[in-house]
This record gives sequence, C-alpha cells and structure tokens, in this order.
Amino acid sequence: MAQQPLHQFEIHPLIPLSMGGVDVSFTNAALAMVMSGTLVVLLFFWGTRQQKLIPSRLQAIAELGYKVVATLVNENIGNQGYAFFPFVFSIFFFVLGGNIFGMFPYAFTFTSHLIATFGLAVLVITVVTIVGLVKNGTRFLRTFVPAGVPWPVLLLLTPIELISYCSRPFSLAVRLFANMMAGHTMLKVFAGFSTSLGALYGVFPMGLNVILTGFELLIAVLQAYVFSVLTCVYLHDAVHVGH
Amino acid sequence: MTLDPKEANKRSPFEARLNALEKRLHSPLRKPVLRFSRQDSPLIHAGIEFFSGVVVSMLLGVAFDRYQSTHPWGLLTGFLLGLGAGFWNVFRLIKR
Repeated sequence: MAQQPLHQFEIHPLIPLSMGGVDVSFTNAALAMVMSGTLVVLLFFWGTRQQKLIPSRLQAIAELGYKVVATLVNENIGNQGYAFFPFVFSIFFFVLGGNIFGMFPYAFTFTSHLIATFGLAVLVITVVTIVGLVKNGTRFLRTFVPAGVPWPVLLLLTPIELISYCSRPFSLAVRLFANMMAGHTMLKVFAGFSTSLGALYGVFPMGLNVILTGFELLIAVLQAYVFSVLTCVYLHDAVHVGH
Repeated sequence: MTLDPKEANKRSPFEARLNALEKRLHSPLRKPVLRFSRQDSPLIHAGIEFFSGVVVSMLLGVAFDRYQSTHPWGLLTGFLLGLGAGFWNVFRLIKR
C-alpha cells in the first residue's frame, strides 16, 4: 500500500453526511481546504497585527503577498482592476495555501483533484462572465464577434470563439490539477524507488527527491501565480471588450 | 537618498551600512525574486490550451449526439470545431 503512488489522492469521508440523498460528507479534502484556508487567515492575522515600520518576518510575508497580487492586478487589468483585488487575492492565496499545505508530509493536496480546481475555475469564469455582462451589457457578446472580419469567416469564427470561451475553465482547471498531481505522483514514485532499493542504493533516489521537493515548491507557487494571472487576463478581457 | 555616499560614510556606520545595502538592492546582478520569466513562457500553456479546446468541443458534440441522437455527426463537428478552437487558443496565447 505504501508503494502505490496514487494512494495519496484517495478521498475518504471523515464525517459522513447526507443531504437529500446527496453525499456531502466532510472528507479529508475538505479538511485540507479548511486547514490551509485557516493557515492563510492566521498568517495574515498575525502578519498585520502589529504594523511596524520595520516589518517582522510574518509582516514581510503579508506585505509581499499583498504587493505581488496588487502589481498583478494593476499590470493585467489596469486601474479598474483594483475592484477585483479581493477576488484575485483570495483565489491566489487559496490555491497557494492548498499547494504549499500539500507539500507537508502526510498532508492532503486538494489542488491535485480535478473537481476542486474545476470548481475554482468555474467560479472564475462565472465571475468574469457576470462582470463582462454588467460592465458592458450586450456589448460583451462582441467578444465572440471579432471586429473587421468578413461575414463568411464570421460564420465559422463565432462558434470557434464560443467554444474557445467555454474551454477556458477546463484549461485553467487542468493546468493546475495536472501540475500538482504529476509532481506529487513523481515524488511518491521516487520515494518508492528508495524503499525498494534498500538502505545503500536507496540514497540516490532520495537525493533526487530532495531536489524534486524543492522543484515542487517552485511549481506550487508558480501554479498559484499562473492561476491568478489567467484570472486577471480573463477579467481584463471582460472589462475591455473589443481589444 | 540624495546624500553623497562618501559624506554619509563619514557620518555614521549605520548610514554606511544602509548605503551598501541600498547599492546591493539595486545592483543589476541581483535577480528579481518573483519573476518567473523562464518558467512562465507562454509555450508551456500551449499544449493545455489546444487540448482543452478539442476536449470541450468534443464533449459538447457528444452531449448533442446523445440528446438529438445524431451520432456520429455531433462528435465529428465538435472535433473539427475543437481543432479550430484549439488552434485559435494557441494563436491568441502567442499573440498576447
């Protein structure tokens, strides 16, 4: 059992619950979400409790996090983007918290489940669509009808644009899920090599695993960053229609 | 920091240290910490963008087939449109 690389992704209910025939049990994935969310909230609670001119380490982390997301929002959406700062900030830190939390031994990585990332991606696209419709009204539909295109091409291009729009949540979800799942599986596979090669030769896969763990940490931060960059890009498209 | 560094060095060791740190902070050798330029190349996303266009379109086609019983035409149309959407996704990604 210990050698099965995919065993770590198994979901099992901790508190069985059922609502109208639908299984809504509190699972280990839900526990991981609650815990990583709580850790993020605590980080910012402790980080912003004492506002010193020379920041403590926690305060520096909190300020850095704020600054990263603020520049991200400003660079990608523009000045109107600050309205979406809380949204992008929450998305970024929820994903980042989940990714980093999953790097701890015995912890569960909820971002390695397609349904979790797909839920997040659908949330993003729903917000983007609502923002586009509220800000631009029916002009938002012009996203699917590029300007300056002759109508025979438009006949083909509009369905393609529509499908391309529908594929956004999928690509957003798959990117995060695939990266996290692949990385964690790889770590487990190399750990399996270590145990099966024994104490003498098992050191080599272990050394590789140390390097890969560092690499995984990079991926964890990078994927959270990419997820929020794409959220910003989509929000930009919704705010500025026809560019 | 408009103070001349040499002047500041004379004033106090603290200012000297501050100046040295300031210099180090802005030195061109220092790499930006949160810049993922190499890892964040658009080409990394190209595969997923293409794949998702095809998959979503084909799933839509299959769903259409199931409810209208037009098998295999929805699947085929979905696949072809999906190819277009996938290429369109990649094209837009490169253009960005």
